[in-house]
Amino acid sequence: MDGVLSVLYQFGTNAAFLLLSAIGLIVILGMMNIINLAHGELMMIGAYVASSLYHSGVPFAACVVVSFFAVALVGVALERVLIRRFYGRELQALVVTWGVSLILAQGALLAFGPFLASIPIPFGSGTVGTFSFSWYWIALIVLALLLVAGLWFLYYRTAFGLRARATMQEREMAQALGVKTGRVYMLTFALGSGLAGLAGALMAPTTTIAPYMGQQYVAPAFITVVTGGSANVIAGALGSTGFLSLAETPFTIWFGTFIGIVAMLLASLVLIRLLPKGLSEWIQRRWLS
Amino acid sequence: MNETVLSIAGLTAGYGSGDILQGASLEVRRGDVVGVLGRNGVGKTTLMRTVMGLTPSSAGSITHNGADVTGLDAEERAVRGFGYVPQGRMVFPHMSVEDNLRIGALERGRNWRRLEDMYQRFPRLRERRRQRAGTLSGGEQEMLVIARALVGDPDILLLDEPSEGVQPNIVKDIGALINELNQTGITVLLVEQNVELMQAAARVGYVMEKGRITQALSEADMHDGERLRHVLSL
Repeated sequence: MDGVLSVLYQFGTNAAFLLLSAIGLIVILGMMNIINLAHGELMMIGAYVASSLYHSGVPFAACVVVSFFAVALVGVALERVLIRRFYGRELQALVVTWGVSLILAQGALLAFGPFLASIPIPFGSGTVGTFSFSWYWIALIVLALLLVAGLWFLYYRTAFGLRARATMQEREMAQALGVKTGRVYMLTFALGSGLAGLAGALMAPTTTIAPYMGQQYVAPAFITVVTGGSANVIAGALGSTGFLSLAETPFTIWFGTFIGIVAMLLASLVLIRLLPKGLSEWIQRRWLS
Repeated sequence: MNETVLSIAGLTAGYGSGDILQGASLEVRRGDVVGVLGRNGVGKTTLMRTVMGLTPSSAGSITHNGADVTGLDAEERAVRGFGYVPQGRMVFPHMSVEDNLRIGALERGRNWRRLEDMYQRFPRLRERRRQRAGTLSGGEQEMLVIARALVGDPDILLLDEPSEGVQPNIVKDIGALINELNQTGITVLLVEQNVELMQAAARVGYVMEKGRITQALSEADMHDGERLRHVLSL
């Protein structure tokens, strides 16, 4: 019993880590086809905002919310000044966002030094028999699922979602139906950035808050997004985090974290080889049409 | 005589080097179905894209209900009542049929009741409302894009070769549909190279050659199938 719980917990935390790492990227890459290499630095900014506020006495939950809006604003600025000049030019956008990532990380180092005060993990820990767990990670698992549900609602049940999906699929046709596609792109980039900031704030208590902290999330985030594919980003996000952590979890438990990550990478390689358009295309074909 | 809904004067446009549209001029009056007949490659699609605002014009003007709209982008023209049915259909393939229709109404007053009107007119679309648009047949997609334009209650409907890639019996249906729509007062600008559809649907017309409008076709001309076919063979 304790063993089962422990495996489930490990699976849940692995999946939540991937989902939170990827969620901002999923929105930006999946909806706009912009390969945002500054994704990790947007998460870093979220963590910085959260840490600064937390240590000036703001409750942690409020820090997380403020991080979302603060980084969304950073996203608006980036989109208006830089990103919008590179729509439809994926490689150039990639180089530009890489440049942004270097500037942000180095800028943080210059402005705030090599470390920022860490945030203690909230809620403490619990035990069931011999199995012990962190309540905060349970909260992160729940929050990750709520965020995906929220995204689903936004994209499939609101006017913004209708505009965004139409813009993504046939931009010119959306324009010809009166959709202000430039605005849709700006808001989408802001949303993706805000979600990266939110995730960075949520992850902040679990890690060292430093200028290059974003790096650790970028690779898992890209693997998650590529494995998920863009046919249906919500189904892709859930499918690929489930699949990848299913591959990772047993190896982590038997052989440790490093081998777990290797297993996850191998699993994603095999999956992309078999389903080049990602899991979501397959899910859509099988169950959603 | 009815008022002019759309007036195009000396319209010039193209992509990069060389203009495809070289000073085209025409007029569409309220309640009319005006056809532009021309062979492949004379600039019919560029004409429609430029009228819609998707291809920028380099000279000339487009006037809608007396207001110059040449400087407006496609979004603003759509909101003013330009209903666009592009060549090659351009449905939103991963969206349901219903969502394709909803987006047509969204920026034009969100009159969701018009969805029901469309389902009554096109029962096939009601049957398939939950299906993804990309999985429909060519004829059904053509119905969907026409319905998507109509659901926004357009002031003028721009139809770019609706006959392209659909079966001959459906071409007949499209002709009948345009007539029916016209009975309800909708103004239509139609570009085509299908003489049968042109004759079935358009009351008056123009001939387009090499980016220019070269002749106007009266009602009597439109009945003269030989003459229309001759225009296409030039």
